[in-house]
Amino acid sequence: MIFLQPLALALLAAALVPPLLHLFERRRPPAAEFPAVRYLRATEREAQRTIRLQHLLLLLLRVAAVTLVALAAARPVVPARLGAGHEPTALALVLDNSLSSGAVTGGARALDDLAARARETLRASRPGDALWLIMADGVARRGTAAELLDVVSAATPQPRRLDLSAAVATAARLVRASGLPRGEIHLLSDLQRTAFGAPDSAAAGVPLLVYHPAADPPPNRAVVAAQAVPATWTMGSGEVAVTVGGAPAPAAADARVPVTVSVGGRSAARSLVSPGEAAVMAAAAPGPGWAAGEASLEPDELRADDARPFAVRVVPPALVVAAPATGLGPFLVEALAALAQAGQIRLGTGPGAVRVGWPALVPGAAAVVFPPADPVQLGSVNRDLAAAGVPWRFAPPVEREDTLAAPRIPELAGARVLRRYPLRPAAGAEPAGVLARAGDDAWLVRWGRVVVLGSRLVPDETALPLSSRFVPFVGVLVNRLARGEEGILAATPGQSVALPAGVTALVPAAPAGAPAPGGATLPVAGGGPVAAPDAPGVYLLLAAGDTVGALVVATDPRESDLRRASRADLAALFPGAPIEDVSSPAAYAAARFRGAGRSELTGGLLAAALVVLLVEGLVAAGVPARSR
Amino acid sequence: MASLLRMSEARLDLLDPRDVSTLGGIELVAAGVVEGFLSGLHRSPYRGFSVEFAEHRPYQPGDELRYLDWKVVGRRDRLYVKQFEEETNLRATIVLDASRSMGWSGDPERRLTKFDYATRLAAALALILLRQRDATGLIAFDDAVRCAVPARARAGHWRVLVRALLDLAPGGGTAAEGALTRVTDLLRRRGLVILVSDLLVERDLVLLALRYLRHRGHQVTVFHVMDPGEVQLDGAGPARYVDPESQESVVASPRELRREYRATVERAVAAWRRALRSGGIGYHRVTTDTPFGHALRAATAGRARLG
Repeated sequence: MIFLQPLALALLAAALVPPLLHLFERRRPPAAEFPAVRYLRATEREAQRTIRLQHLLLLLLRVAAVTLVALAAARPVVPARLGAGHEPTALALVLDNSLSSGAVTGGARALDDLAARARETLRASRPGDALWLIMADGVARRGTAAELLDVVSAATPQPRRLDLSAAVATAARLVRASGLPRGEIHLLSDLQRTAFGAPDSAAAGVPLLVYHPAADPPPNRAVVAAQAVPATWTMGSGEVAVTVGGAPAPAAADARVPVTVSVGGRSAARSLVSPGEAAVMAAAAPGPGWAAGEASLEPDELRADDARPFAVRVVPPALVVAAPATGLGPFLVEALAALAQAGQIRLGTGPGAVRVGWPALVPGAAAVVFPPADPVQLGSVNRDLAAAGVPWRFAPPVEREDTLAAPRIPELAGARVLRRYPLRPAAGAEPAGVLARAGDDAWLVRWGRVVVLGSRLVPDETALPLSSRFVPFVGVLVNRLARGEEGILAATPGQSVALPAGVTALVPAAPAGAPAPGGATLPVAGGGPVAAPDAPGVYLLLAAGDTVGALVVATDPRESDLRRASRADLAALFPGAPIEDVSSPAAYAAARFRGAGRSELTGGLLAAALVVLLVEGLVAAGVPARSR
Repeated sequence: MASLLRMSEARLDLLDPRDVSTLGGIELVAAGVVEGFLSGLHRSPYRGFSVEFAEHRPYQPGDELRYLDWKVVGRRDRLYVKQFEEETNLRATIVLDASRSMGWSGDPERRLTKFDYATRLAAALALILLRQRDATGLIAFDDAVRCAVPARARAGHWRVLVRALLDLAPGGGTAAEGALTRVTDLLRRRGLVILVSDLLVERDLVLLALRYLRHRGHQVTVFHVMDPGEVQLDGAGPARYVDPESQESVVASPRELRREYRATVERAVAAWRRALRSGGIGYHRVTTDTPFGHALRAATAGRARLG
């Protein structure tokens, strides 16, 4: 037993007051003349035994009352098993209802087990506890036990990934900031190894009670990647790259699994895919426009990752006019020829043709503009841009090697730039439409259907022509960028994603690509980060009534690996935190609030003192004597 | 003064003894009480004791119904009571306890001491007896006989008795047994003996003396005078209670003993009553807040039973 206010134990000295008063009263009573002493003596002789017992009982009751009050003031706490409850505790419950919690083992979802434990803990909490609940959305909910019970009861597996390291760190901060002397973090999770981040000492010193289902996690296969290759199909068909992952049973680790690809709601391809390898499967699109596709596996114990959406843009080949190519080098010309030969573009002139090179810019016409080979011509090109209304200008060339950063153009990822003409917005213009940067300078910008590059596609200025991504990039230039389209974005549920400027809404796409009938339009503000929808699928990006791109929301592939972190992993992940890892409900119940460890007896002592005083009053009033 | 006037017009025998005592000394109070008492009875309360029928008179409120002559009522349709004439003169002696314990009052502001109450009661009894031309004497004692006034029936003897009462004051301890032995020597002729005492004495020895008197042919009546504070233990906290006579003391808490003490007193009173009546001795308990008339009426009724 310990005392939270040990100084109050000095009040125990007050327990001596009743005996002292008793002795004082007995020794020095006032004297009074009374002739009938003989009657009084006879009375006392007869009632002496009763009176002595009553006096002794009163004395004991008064000493007990004072002692109980003094002890209550000292706020004693005892081991919890001896008390009616536990000391006020700051409790942060991390309930992992991420995608993996939907895995079925023995006919029950992991989340059902975890939620049952959470409910038990909330019911075992006391009004003095501070309670938080953190779930897959990462939000720390503060509430009463009843409020959090409602939340837990309504919990379902979410397609999101829960970073358990971050959740535990958040819980530790909340527990520490609670101001309560005791705190616990309960991590109720299937304990995926992939759900943890880097080791974090944020929880050092805070008791961490980890509960996970006793049964081993089931083997799981998942489509961890699915992507149309290329993202824009110009011939009405293309390929879909599919990767199968997860954590299969060891005996079936290398077994190939059947994968079905559907595009636009129609089965497009089937193949046996080896786990861990990207299988490319030829597929056909039902028609031009945006199409939603899906790569799926046979169902297993975790259904949520057995299918993965992807999007594809089906367009007719762009009509490209190769303007005077002097100085553009042979690579661009060859690439255009290769694309034309592959049917990706058509070379020629006509309405809507994309002019590549140093064309005479025509207002409203699509064009791809490069810097001049001779810096002397820089002013002429800038005047052409100004005449066409393009608010970007070439600055004097810079000789410095930089890596291109183009989040929405995967074909440019990691490409090196050796020499560039930094693109600067015209005086008074907003720097809008930047698609790629080299260092701090805009390198690739778009204004309407005019695309301007900061370097010529020659090896002297960029290493891009020497890479395998060069031809696809040229295809993107003429087939997508010069058409004013944004391409396909990817995100996991709830992930923050930067939407292009001008996008005003997300619309769930039907398999054929059109907005899904009845699909809820999600208003968004393009040009900044937006949380991706929770439901996996393909969402069309709407800008001024036109579909300018697609957002593919798919589950985080890390959620498909159900292998569990070991006790040693936990110790390494949370250095300094006292960790108790249990897997049975009984062990969890026994360990619960043990971190608080003790229970305050103040309330019980005060109640006992009240009862003692009540009995003292009855005894003093002579109730026992009257009842005889 | 107005209240005193109002009291003087009332029957003093029915008023609070303390209030009555404020009107004057023993003589005045006793005379007033007896006047009131007799006006209620119309004539001597001792009529009916060793007397013969004399005449009828109309019934007045306060007359005892047992003296109604029902035959006359039947014949004349009016209420008449029978009156009796004395047959013999009585020789009465009032034996008054003047011990120190008699000088106690539980509430001096509101109640008479037992001694003051007893002297006024004795004076009233003597006046009634003398008005019947009964020879009346007085013996006062504490641990010895303090005064002894022989029984006389002549006019003016009441004032002698009153003067003797006025000269008395509660004194030492009670040795009633010795004093009563002396009384038996003084009372050679049979008569009425009225003992007025708080009976805080050795019970067996006093009983022996009283039974001896009875054996000698005396009519004996005992007025057991108690203060209400002796019947009901007052106060709350513990106190050291000291006997003024023996200086014995006991520490007790009224709050704890109140109920048991009351039972002890009731048992003691019952024991006195039982022991005295079994010996043919009249017993009347009066408390000092009892109107004198009630005490006299109780004594009268007892006399009637004894007679």
